[in-house]
Amino acid sequence: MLMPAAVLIVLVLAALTVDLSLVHLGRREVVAATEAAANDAVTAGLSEATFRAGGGYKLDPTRVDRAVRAALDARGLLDRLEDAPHVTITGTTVAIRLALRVDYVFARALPGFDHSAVVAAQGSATAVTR
Amino acid sequence: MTPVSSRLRGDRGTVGGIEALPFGVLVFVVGSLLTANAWAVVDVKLAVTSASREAVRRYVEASDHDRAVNEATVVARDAIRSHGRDPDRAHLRIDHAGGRPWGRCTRVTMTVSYPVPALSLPWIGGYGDAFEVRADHSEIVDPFRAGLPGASRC
Repeated sequence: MLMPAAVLIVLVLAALTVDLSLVHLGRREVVAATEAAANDAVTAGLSEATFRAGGGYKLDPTRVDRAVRAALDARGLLDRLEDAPHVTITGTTVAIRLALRVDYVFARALPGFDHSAVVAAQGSATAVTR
Repeated sequence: MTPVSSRLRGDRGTVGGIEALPFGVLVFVVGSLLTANAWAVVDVKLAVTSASREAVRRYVEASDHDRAVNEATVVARDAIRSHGRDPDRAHLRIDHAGGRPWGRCTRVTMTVSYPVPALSLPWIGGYGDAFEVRADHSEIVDPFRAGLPGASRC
């Protein structure tokens, strides 16, 4: 009687380990995505017209937003986001916050467990003149 | 004393439900293999994710195309090796958005793939190639960076 229960418990714990590892992978992915998008946007988002006119390093919100979306689209993440990317521009810093839904593999088969989890991350990049 | 031939005749002394034990063992073995294989995928995913990210970072910060390819390949292999995997089995693919050459504003996507065996056994290794685990990372070559030829055309 105890042995089948023990086997079942071991398998369920192993399945939970794999599912939580997938969530961890998803978190790593969204962290890398925010950092890459911020890094792209902080340079590609430069307002060249302002810069050429002597106005210094100013970020154009439209160009920043376009760069962020292009970066996320290249990774195939745009369709998997919980909501639209939250982009904040402060001086020469671009900060991005993303929330990504990660599907479980094993937990979907267990009653009472969620089928997915939402992971969030924030990344920023600052353009520094040398 | 009862002769052996008499004792082995008939069903007396047989444990009821003993035929279910092989099925229990089978479920345990199959479940363990399934979980081990899933973990192997997770482990390889960690390795290829790191490799693609490091490779792209090095690629977009290199000073020219040839050096970018060489350095990206080296760091991707190092990342795979540091995760305890064989870098010779990894495959690195480099894509430029729109077919643009390496240069300012070019979006680079690198995909690192690695085969996962169908059956992973501890100490013995794996058998067969079930599927490939892939990870990609994408960034643009800095449009206004010093040291690169040509104008920025984003």
